[in-house]
Amino acid sequence: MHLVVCLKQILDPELPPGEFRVDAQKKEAVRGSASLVISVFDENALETALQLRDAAGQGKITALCVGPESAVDALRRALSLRVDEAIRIREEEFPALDGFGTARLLAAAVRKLEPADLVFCGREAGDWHGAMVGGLLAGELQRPFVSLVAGAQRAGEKYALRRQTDEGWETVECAAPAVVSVTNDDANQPRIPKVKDNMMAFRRQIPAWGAAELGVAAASLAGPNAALEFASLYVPKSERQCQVLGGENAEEKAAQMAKKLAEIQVL
Amino acid sequence: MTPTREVYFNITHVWVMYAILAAALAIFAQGWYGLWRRWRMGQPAARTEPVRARLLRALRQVFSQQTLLKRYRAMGIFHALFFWGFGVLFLATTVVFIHEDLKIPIMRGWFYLIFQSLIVDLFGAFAILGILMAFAHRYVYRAKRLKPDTRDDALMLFVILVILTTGYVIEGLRIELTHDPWTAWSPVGRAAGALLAGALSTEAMRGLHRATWWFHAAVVFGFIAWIPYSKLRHLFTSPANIYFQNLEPKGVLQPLDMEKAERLGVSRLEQFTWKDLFDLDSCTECGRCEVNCPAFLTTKPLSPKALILDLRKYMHSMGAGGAAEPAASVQGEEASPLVGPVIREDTLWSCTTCRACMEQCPVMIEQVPKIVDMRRHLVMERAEFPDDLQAMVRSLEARAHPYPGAQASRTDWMQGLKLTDLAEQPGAEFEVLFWVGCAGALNKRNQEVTRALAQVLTRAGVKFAVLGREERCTGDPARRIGYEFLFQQLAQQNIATLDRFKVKTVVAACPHCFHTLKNEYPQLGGNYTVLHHSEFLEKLVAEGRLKPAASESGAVTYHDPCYLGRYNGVYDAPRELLAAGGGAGCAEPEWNRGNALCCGGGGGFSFMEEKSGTRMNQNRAKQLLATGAETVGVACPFCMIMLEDGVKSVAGEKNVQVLDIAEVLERRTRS
Repeated sequence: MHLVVCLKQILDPELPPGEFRVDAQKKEAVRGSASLVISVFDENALETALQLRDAAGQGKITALCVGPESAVDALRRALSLRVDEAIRIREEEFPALDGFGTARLLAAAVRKLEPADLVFCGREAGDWHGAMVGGLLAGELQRPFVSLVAGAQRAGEKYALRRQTDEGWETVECAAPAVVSVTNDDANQPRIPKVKDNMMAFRRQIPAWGAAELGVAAASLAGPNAALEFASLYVPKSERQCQVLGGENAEEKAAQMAKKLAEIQVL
Repeated sequence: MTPTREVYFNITHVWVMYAILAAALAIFAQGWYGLWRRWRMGQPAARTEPVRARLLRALRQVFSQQTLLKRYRAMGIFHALFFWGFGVLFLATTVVFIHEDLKIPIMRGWFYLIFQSLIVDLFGAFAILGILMAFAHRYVYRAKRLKPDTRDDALMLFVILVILTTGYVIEGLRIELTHDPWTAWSPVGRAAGALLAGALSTEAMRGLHRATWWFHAAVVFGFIAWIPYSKLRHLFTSPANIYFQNLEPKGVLQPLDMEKAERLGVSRLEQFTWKDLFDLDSCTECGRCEVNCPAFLTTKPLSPKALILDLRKYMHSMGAGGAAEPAASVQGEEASPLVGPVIREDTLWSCTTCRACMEQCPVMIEQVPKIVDMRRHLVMERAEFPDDLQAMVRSLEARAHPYPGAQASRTDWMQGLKLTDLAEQPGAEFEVLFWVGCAGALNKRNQEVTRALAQVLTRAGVKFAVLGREERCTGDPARRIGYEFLFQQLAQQNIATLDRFKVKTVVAACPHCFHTLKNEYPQLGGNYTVLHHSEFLEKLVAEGRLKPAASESGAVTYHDPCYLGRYNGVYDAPRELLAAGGGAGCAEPEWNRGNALCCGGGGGFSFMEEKSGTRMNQNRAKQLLATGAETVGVACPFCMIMLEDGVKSVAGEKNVQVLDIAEVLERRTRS
């Protein structure tokens, strides 16, 4: 059983709102003092894969990350949680990547890693929330796509995938190979690495694959070949207004409140 | 005629006594040998040098019985009476040994009359008085901390009472039978003799004397043989344990060499140090630790006493070769026969590291480091710990503060204040560094305290700076939960920052930061003069740089933070600040200073939901409100959060505010 987990390294979404800045020219978020973390649903994806391997008692996990040099930290984290291999895809060779480009790069990497039974990714990245890469990756690889999964188990030769629906949860059976996007649930909260594994991870070399290794030309993903174009990027302004409502007693105050809420169309 | 007495009056076949004694001593030695082999399983610890200093300190502490007399005084008096009574009786036996067996005739003349007769006679009575108090305490008053009573507890008291009373019977009968001319020197013995003489014939008295003498001897030797096999062993181990006490600053945890350590924390009994194992056999089961434990008092699954006794029972159950293979749930390389099977995980996660147990322990057993050692195993080797703490750890790893989901930034509190922020002005000059702490920067209520403190420092004309975004968590919460690895990472980063800005003096607004910076950073090469804000402000008031006006509010009480008081002995500075300028003084809660009850916020608890038992903060709030105070003074951001909440829950209609001493001072120094 070979599982591949795709991770994205993003700006810490818990950065205090007051410190978040964007560069309107470059159309990107400014890092500033923010830390870099693994996108939260990707952590759930990794945990789901780890649990699947734990329960099966065997299997190999490979972590993939399209990212700059700093992305080795995300991959180290995955290694410290005992994935077997971690490979970085050199984002610096592919400027201005969009979700389509990312999916193509990941698909190229997965083909190099074949056989890959299940490919996991988070349901959406914690920065842009595009929620496209999983589906596009399945399309690139010509494989079935199971979305919003929170638990995976072996079911004979197949896999039983517990997925979220509008009504609750359903379990689908799926034969490998397939692509799975993962949502969060109490059951797949990311674990903490053991310190020994953490220290071992620091001694590992992390290979980086670029255009040459993947056989994907940068130009085929960028410029006029890109599928998406950003029109503009800005931080929405939120304004707060405070009004003190009058009234002699609780009843009057409640009436005032109801009237006001109706006025601003909340009620 | 020279005053003395015949040692073996009315006794023949004395060799039989020596034979029984030899047998008793053999059993005694065998018992100690077994214990010694178990202590030897432990790891090395430097607790024997310097001999002279340790010896003087231990002698002073043992002979003054100081810890016992500090609290629960009545029972301390019992132990002192008993300790001194037994001590004098032991000396008397030694005198007999020198006189009779070494044939050095010292038991005569004035020494005989004053020491061997009068003093021994009186101290024996003291010991009886002591033992009766102990009986009453255990079986009439039924002190909670002594529960559960065991058969051994009853037997021990009874045997000692038998030894002491039969001693007087023998003495009294001898006085009557020998028509002792010096009976004025043995008032208790004489009274016992007179009582018996009134009821018995001379022949009966001779027979009773001989029988009682042999019975007394047999019981005494049995008692001696029993010592290493029961808690009576504390006669020897407790003073020795006091000799082996930790001489480092209180509450400093031992660092691990992360690169070289083969294991992280303690998962098997023999991974404790020999001193940790010796601790177990020093316990007298007095229960002082238990009745002062904030976790135990709120019915959590931790009693420091039970922890020590469980470990002891386990140690005694194993051969001297080490732990048997684990029977329990966790298998593989992280399997532990100790953590889980012997000491439950939820026991370890109930400790706030408040140190009340260690402060109360008369024989200086070190409970908290053992708990942290076992936590280290759970956190670093097994990565198994409560979810809330995992969230805290992830936040520390990602953003160097322990508050997941914090909306504030480290600099939000500074808005509108003119401050020197070294992150923005790296070259700025300053005298002291104001260490804000994560709670002071990120928690809404504590931001007010931080602002108040900055304002007071500005008013006093102190040239201070803050690290702003360059400040990280000191690592205290990581260290206390056993995540030594993360602690060291954070500490090293902070030390690099402090050294880069050439910081010499630090004023910390959080006792946890204060303790860690002051006492634990030196382990990693960070050496600074570190003061808590209460100490620094008190100095400013004493120097006249701050002139507080009299208090206008009503009575104030003060809650001692564990890491300020018990850990670092800072008790007076905050009280003096509350009293400065006059006005209503400080109304002390019943439990104060070293006896103060923890608010429930230490050791990671500030970041954890209190899942079992009742609430620790409400327990403490009740004690504070019982003073009738309208203001509760605190000096720690965790105490602030815990007690503000606790006071709200238990104060009812009454309006009681919780203020940091910096806020109190800020209000009194407004011009």
